[in-house]
Amino acid sequence: MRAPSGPEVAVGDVLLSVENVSLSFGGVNAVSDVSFDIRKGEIRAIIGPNGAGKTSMLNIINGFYQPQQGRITFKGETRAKMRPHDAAYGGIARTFQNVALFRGMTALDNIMAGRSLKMHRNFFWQLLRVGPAMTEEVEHRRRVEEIIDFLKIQEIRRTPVGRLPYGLQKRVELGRALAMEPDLLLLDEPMAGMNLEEKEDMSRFVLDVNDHYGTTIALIEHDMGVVMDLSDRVVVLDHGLKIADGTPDDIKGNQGVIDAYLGVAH
Amino acid sequence: MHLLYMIFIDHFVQMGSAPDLLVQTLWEGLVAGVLYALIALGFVLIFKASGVFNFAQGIMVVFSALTLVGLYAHGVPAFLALAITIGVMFLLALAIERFVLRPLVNQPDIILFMATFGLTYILIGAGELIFGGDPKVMIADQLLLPSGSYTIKMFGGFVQMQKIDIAAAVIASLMVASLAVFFQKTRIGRALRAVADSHRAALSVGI
Repeated sequence: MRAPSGPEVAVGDVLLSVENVSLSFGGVNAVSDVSFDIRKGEIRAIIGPNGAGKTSMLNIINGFYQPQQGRITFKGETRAKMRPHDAAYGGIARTFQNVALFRGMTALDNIMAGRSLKMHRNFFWQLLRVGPAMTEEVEHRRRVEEIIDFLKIQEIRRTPVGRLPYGLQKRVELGRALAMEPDLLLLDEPMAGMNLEEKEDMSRFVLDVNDHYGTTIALIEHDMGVVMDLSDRVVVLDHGLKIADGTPDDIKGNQGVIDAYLGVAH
Repeated sequence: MHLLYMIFIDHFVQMGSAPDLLVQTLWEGLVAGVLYALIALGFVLIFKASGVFNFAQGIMVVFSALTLVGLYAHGVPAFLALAITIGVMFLLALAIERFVLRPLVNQPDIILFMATFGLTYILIGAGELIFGGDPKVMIADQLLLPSGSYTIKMFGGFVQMQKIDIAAAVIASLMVASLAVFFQKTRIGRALRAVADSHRAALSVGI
């Protein structure tokens, strides 16, 4: 297991905990009575076969879905109900399984949009481009350029993202999430549909984000090699139930997990 | 042969023989174009911010003009009438968002489009009901817009430019320019484009 490290983050404290959370759509139980926690500074993987409730879990954490039962505690604050705006404001950023970018906008503008919550000058001053509004814009732009350098997407910053290849779109989406300077970053299948080289790049970015910014990361991924390499702890869902939780080594040897993936002999 | 000549050649011969008329026509075309651009601006603003093609845009422009002229006819001073009209249109827009468009959020675009289509007929009816169907005269003078015209001697003839056309062209150009800056350079402009592009991505970054 890779030791989680970050400059000023106290590793080990619980950042987010999910307790007995259930969510159903009509008669379908997407998530049933699931509990787990995410500790500061770690990379936490959520895995499971298709339809296990992984994406629903992420949607609950960032406020897209409201669980019918259970509690979620983030940064020590327990909440019954949270809207996506509150989640974003509280420091939860995410990417999507099927890239959700602002397709008509450039890579740069997409990432700038990630800083919306951090910009405060009203639009009148921004329109005139003077004084504090200008200083603010320049400062945000500088931060965004850092992210662009970090993700090595300098040459595509002026390209409308709809025209970029899939792998780069995923990278821009990660950039937009990073621009929010999140405490918790949710990645929904960051490597889906990528070739080996792109997967390696993305894995390195995920590790670097975790190391460099000390960002806590929860990720959903199907590639077991990637999951076992990247994550500090893994939670396994199947049909909405939690069937295992532990280090990658624990999970590899867990009979329940093997059964869930390969089926049980009858 | 004669037909082809009439279609492809004759116009240019005429242009050459009456350059003053050519300039006059170009000018009037420009002014008309700029005014259309001003209305198109409304379409663009709404489309960029919501992805909705607002079919009722044209009638809303007419409705605001009717409100302005109607208020003035009832003895409200011109500039007060202008302010009230802006207020009325603001409230109207809020009401449309709240009662017509918001219940349809996340529906296919064509449904929103049809809703604005229906809105058009409601506004046409309402305008006629409230302000009557007879022609009105715009209160341009009272709003201190210039009247009269410049006549320029050119190519042995005269080109006439209405002052109000010049004012309209200048005002419209300024509005187009500031809207462009607003969308490209401000946080709210970026946020509006973002929401139009992807609703859930916008939610995820807190817009």
